[in-house]
Amino acid sequence: MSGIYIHIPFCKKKCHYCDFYITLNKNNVGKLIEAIKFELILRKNFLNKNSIETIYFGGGTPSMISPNYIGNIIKEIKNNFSVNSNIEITIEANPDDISLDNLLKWKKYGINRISLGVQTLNDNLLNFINRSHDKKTAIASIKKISEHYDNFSIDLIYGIPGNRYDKLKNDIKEIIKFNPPHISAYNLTIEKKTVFYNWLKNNIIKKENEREIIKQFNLLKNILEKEEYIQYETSSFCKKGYESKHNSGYWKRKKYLGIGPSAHSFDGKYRSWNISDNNRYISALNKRIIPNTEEKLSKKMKINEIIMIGIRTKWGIDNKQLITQLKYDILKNQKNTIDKLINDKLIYINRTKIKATKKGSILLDYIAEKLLV
Amino acid sequence: MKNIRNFCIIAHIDHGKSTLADRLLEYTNTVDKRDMKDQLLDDMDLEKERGITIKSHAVQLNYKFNNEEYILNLIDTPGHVDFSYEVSRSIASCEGALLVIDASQGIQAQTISNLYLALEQGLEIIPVLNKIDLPGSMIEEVSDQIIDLLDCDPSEILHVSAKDGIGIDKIMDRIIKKIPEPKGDAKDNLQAMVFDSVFNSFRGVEVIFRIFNGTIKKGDTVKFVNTKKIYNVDEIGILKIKKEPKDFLEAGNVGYLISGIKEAKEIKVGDTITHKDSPTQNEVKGFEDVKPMVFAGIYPVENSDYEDLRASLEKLQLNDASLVWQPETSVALGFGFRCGFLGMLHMEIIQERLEREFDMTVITTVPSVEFKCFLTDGTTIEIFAPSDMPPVTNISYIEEPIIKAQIITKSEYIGNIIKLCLDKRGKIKNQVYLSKSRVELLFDLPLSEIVFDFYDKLKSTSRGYASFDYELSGYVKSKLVKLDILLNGEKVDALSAIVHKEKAFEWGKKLCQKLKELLPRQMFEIAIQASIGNKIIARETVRALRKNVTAKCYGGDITRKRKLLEKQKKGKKRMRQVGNVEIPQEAFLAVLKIEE
Repeated sequence: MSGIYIHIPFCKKKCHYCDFYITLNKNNVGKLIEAIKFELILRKNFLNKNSIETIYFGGGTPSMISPNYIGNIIKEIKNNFSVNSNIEITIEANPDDISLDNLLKWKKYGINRISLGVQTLNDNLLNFINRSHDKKTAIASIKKISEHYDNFSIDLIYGIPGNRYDKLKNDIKEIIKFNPPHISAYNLTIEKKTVFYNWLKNNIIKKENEREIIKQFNLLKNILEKEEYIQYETSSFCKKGYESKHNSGYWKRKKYLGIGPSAHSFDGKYRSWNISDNNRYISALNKRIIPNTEEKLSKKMKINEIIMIGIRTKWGIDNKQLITQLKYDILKNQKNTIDKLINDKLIYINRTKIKATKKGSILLDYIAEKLLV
Repeated sequence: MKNIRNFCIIAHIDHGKSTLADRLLEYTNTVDKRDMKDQLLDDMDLEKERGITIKSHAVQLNYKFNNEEYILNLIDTPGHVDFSYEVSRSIASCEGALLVIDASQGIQAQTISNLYLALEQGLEIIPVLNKIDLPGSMIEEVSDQIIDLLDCDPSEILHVSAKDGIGIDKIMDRIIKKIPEPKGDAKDNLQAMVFDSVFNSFRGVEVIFRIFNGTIKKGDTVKFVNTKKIYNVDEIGILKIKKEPKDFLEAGNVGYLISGIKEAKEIKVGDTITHKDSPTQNEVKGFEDVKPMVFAGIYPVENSDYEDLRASLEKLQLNDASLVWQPETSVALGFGFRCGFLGMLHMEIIQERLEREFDMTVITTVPSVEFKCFLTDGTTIEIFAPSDMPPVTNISYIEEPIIKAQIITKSEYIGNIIKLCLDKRGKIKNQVYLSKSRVELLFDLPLSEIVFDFYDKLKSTSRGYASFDYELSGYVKSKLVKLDILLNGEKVDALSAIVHKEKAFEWGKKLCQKLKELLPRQMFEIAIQASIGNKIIARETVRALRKNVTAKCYGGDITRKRKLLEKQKKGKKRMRQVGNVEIPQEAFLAVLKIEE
């Protein structure tokens, strides 16, 4: 019961909010794919012969490299790992890469889920955040995907400076016409080392007003709820049975192997991450060295992970899990904090589980911080 | 005695004093290359990290020159104005000094005031121009500054790169040839001066001293003239990298003494050591009982840690005699201690040592100075904290301490610095051009203005090209008021400050604004008010927290998110609940950063 993540660190353009490791230099795509295959072979025992339930191609923009590369990698995984028969294989794609040819090739190689980076349907905003597609392309690509894939997801960003509640409302309405089984809605977060961060510092842009963001988030939730979407994680909505199995694995602390530059892995005891540099990644793998850093999780770190991730999901923080796995009884040890949070109407307890209320759902970091050990 | 040389190094922070000391240790094989680590003499972690020397250190080097064995005692001195008395005693223990100047920086105020001390004591000065290999070095210009200052010949200035070991041989040569041998008589009555003490948890306090006259032997009964304490000398010896016990030490030398002394405060730097039965008639001149200049409250974050904090302060005081404290109570913070420090750096050091060496998380309140308050009934009280201030109706007038400040800077920053000092209620006393581009400015300044953000501002207004030194010059009458802060209507005594009346309104306003930035938003609204007496002079509001969630895509990177939250949580560890409001440590020092 584990997953494999493959990081494809190439993009045509870098989005102004993006702080992931990516490069615009496509000269060594071939070499990188070779290195990824080496890493897969070197780490074939990482997941302890567990069967692979999910594969996720993320990035970067995995849709912009030749589908043959994707096929090669899937083949390499199947050669070295035991793969579950109803495996979920997702590829992240940009609307401008959605051609019939790509869709069919991906399908042929085993891809059965597409996560499409639409972000917004407003051309000015698309330009503002430096995406390489426009509204028309986005709509056409959603249509095409819906014709060939049963399972797909649309990524949206709310809280973009300049966007407004009513515009966002139109976007969502337009998108749900295609009945996507999964929608991820992220709040624009301005991280260091991004163009937006720089702009913010130099007063070129302003942070979006908090009330407006809350309004947009509540709007999303209300519309999607009416359309029978389930919010199973703070940013993730799906129709019944269409949770992202791969992402749910992260949140349920299942093991996963991350391949490629900057990819993260987890084997239950250690978390590790690969070097964020294509050239150094490739040259290390050419010497059959895995260029990663690892951190052993202490009991405290594990508890904190369960708290921090759990409160974000519809499954909550499971005290039974904490007690059996870590001999930590959060309801007993943190009674005062929990009582105060309940009193503030931020959380509630359902049997052994601590879950966020509607009010708490926009204060998850506040709750997590209070509960961390 | 003929072959002893006692010398110190005078240098500004970062001018390469510790690196030069390292090279001298290597050159004389006092320490094996293998055992060499950087800044060998700075043994506190804090000293290494900050690149400053907090305590004096002494080390004996042995060196063969023209087939003769020489003993060189290197006395490393602290490099900050807070510790200027210790520096003066170290200097008084030497016959010579290396004046180390960074060729890319030029002479700084601290260096000059220490140099004057050395000249007053009649020390032989060896000018050393360091970092000559740096691209930014201004060898000629800085040489001119040195020549102006010492009235020496250009050929006397040694060109050195301590980092790369260039010119170390010339320094050694000069030390032997130029620094005079110690004077004194080994047969005379014992006359030695304490210039440092080190606390050793197993053996008690080690007293570090210089013998001017007489001989000290193991087993002697000695008397410390100023403290009038009498001890049995259990052990004496010289200071190599490790201590080396000896049966006796004679006039001219530097050594240590152990006699089961339990607390550092028993030993006063500058005191004279003599024999109980045949005491010297000549006490070493210049003894001062150093008094703290800056006072602040130190409180445990958790009230239950009060006793632990007391134990930690007691232990700290064992090896830092200049720290003084007494219990204090605050309505907002509960039980804590009012502590006295030599200066702002000393205060920071104590706080950091409490955290690092004793694992105490503490809250430090706004620093204050000692005011003298003359009451209408004719009595006088000393005020160390805003809470000591009596009701206005009982006060006749207040006096505050004034310092003589010396600032050396580049001529282009004169305007900025004068403006800063005038803003700080200073009066300019003199302005002297040391060279074409370097100016010495003398001011009278209220000490209470120095403890509020003066250093940071001086640094930014001069882009780092200003050095500062001061001494207390007396007390003057001043119009001072107590400014209080209320959070949701409750007075937070630990946020009060004593400020000049004319500045009070602006301060209140800025302080409220600063607090608004610093107070984390909570589940309810917080009203911040400033008041003088019962009069509210400013108000700000912290809105209730509505949204705090990171709804971004972070994939499998669980670690980053966890560390971020843990860091935030840790940042809030040092918070204090006052009424229903949580106040972070920075807020208690907001008054210091009021104009950032």
